[in-house]
Amino acid sequence: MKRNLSFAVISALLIALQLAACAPNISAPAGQNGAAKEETGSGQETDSENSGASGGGNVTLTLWDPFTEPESAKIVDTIIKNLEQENPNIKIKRNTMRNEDLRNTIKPALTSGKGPDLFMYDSGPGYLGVLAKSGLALDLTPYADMYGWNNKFPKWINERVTFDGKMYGIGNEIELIGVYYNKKIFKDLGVEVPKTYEEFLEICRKAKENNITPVSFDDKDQWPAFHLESVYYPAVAGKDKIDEVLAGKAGFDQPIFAEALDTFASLIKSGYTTKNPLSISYDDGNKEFFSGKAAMRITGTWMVAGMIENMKDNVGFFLLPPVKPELPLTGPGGIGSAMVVSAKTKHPEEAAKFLDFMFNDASAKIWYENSKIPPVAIDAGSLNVSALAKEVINMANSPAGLSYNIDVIMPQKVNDVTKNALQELIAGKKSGADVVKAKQKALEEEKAAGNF
Amino acid sequence: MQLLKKAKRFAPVLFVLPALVFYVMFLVVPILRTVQFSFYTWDGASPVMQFVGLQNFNRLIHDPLFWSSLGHNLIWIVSTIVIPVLLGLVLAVLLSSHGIKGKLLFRVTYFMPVIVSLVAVGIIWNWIYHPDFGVINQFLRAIGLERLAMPWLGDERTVLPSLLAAGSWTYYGFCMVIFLAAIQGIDKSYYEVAKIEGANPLQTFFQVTVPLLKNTITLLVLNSLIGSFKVFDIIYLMTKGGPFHSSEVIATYMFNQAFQMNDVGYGAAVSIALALIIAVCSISYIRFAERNG
Repeated sequence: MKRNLSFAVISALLIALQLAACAPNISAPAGQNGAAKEETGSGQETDSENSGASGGGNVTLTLWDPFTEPESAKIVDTIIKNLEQENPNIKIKRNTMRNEDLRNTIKPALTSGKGPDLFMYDSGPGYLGVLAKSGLALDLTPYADMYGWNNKFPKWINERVTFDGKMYGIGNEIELIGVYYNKKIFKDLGVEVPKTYEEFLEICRKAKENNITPVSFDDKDQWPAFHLESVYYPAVAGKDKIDEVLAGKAGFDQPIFAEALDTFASLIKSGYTTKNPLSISYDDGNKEFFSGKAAMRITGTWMVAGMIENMKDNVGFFLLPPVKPELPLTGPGGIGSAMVVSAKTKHPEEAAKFLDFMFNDASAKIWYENSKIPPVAIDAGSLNVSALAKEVINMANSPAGLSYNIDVIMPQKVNDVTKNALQELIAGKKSGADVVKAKQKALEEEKAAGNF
Repeated sequence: MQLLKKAKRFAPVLFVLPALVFYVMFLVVPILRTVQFSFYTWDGASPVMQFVGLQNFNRLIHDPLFWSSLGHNLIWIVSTIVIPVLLGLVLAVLLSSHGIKGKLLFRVTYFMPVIVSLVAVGIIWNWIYHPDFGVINQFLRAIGLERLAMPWLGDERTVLPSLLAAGSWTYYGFCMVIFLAAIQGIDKSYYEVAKIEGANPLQTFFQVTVPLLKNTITLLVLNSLIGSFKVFDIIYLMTKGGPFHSSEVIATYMFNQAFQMNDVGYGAAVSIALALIIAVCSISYIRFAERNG
């Protein structure tokens, strides 16, 4: 009898467990006491909590972000502290993880309803676009109107987080791709920042003669070549040509884009880049440049902090001069990621308030002073930052000149085809024409599938 | 009384229930869901999945990348069965023969790579293969064979053999230990008879040891077969399937499709295909081994 009873109890428990697992939207019974709940909130707990809407009006928002390094973590921590001081009723519970982990967890977390209220996520159509389409990201358009985000942030940044005419986030890190150079090596070679592409090639030639790797380049990780693609398209074809492709008026499979890639490939063939780039990782490429073995490195402004840490004031930054002299000087720019609100949050107002707070003038300064460029223009002179950072900030704040970081805009499948084709270009197995043809084919397939 | 009897019948069920619940939740349900996903187009996030029937499987059959990945898996299987299993067998026989000093040291040394986490293995072998400061290239340069210094993981001709070497390094110790245990279970009288009959060590190996290890060999070959079909970690850690898909295997391809390309339906179809291939190969092999046993 006793056994039978325990069997029944255990079965009931297991059935309950199963039900809870199968129906993630059924949340666990909420605690009676808001304060008690606050205390139990460990770092492990990630679900959106309503800490007593009936209580003292306290709201706890969970935030997932990939700012794991101390410097960038400081940005978020400081902003949260300031917000909590000004708004005692709002508490932000921060949960950091590597970007890759965040990417892999966010979708199941959001669909299960146990995800964060706020999170930082890649802004491209393959990332935020997917969440927007599936209704997992909150449409922020009403809040954009309320807080005036349309006028506050540059139009091109808002465009990158807008899908189907609705705004789904705030682009939070302006990234610019250009050429870092080792000042000492430039001095030793007797060269200055190049004004033309010819001068750039001349520097490469001189460096090679002196047994210095002219341009540190790697592509084992498969994405660094995207940046070279993004640099060479505007330098050879011009930003207008890219605009035409993005507007669907033309394709990538034009001779001019092929020429752009061939120009990039000729840099490798001439021996102006690191040898065997396909077997060198991005980190190793950075180390090569840090250690003074290479004169230049073409990468993004997310490396500013790392550059200063490793090279102090021995490093400068310039935009690659246009290959075609008639084209204007421009560098690819984009936004690294966006701050997004979950569609399932119970506190959309507070979440939007946090977003607005995150990019007010006082917070913007915190971003800048910790080597990240928020979408808010600032007078770089007033900042307590390195000379390199000032240089980069000034360049990033002139959006008219910015071209596109192509891979951030393209659907994932197009990127997958492109990154492999670019590796073949680097290995000398494909021509620029082959690459742009494959890319365009993939883009057309994605367009047909409604993904672009 | 009747009730007690009934309860008694349920008792075993009760004991396996906790394990069963976990088994169902974490294995059976996901498998069924994967089968379900393979008939849909789904980006992993949308609330709606679109039913497409067998379209994902049709695409699979016409996908050259799937076939080239499968080809790489086959190379991996053959090499894994030949290199680590054979090496494990030879080492086990050597280490169980008399007259070898410091057996324990050898056993520990050979087994060591097995207990190293695969992430560490990936990082270490990445260093070993590094074109500039990697041990292999530095050694080749030091002895004047600069011509042979290769970008091991960056060249489509060397990447798969390089990965195989790293993979085998983590596996042969395991094979060795299994063989060692099996050899210890062989009745000594067989060897005595062989000795009396005048068999030399090689004959003893082929006529006595190998036939008596047949079951162990079957086990290890099967283990290698299944392991090689689903090999993922070491490749993902070291090359992510690159350069340009030249080290892509089905598992990395599946991961890429489902989790990077947001094509969960197609990824599920790839994994179903993989499961079917493994099942067919395993069953065929077991049948074959039984018939010959």
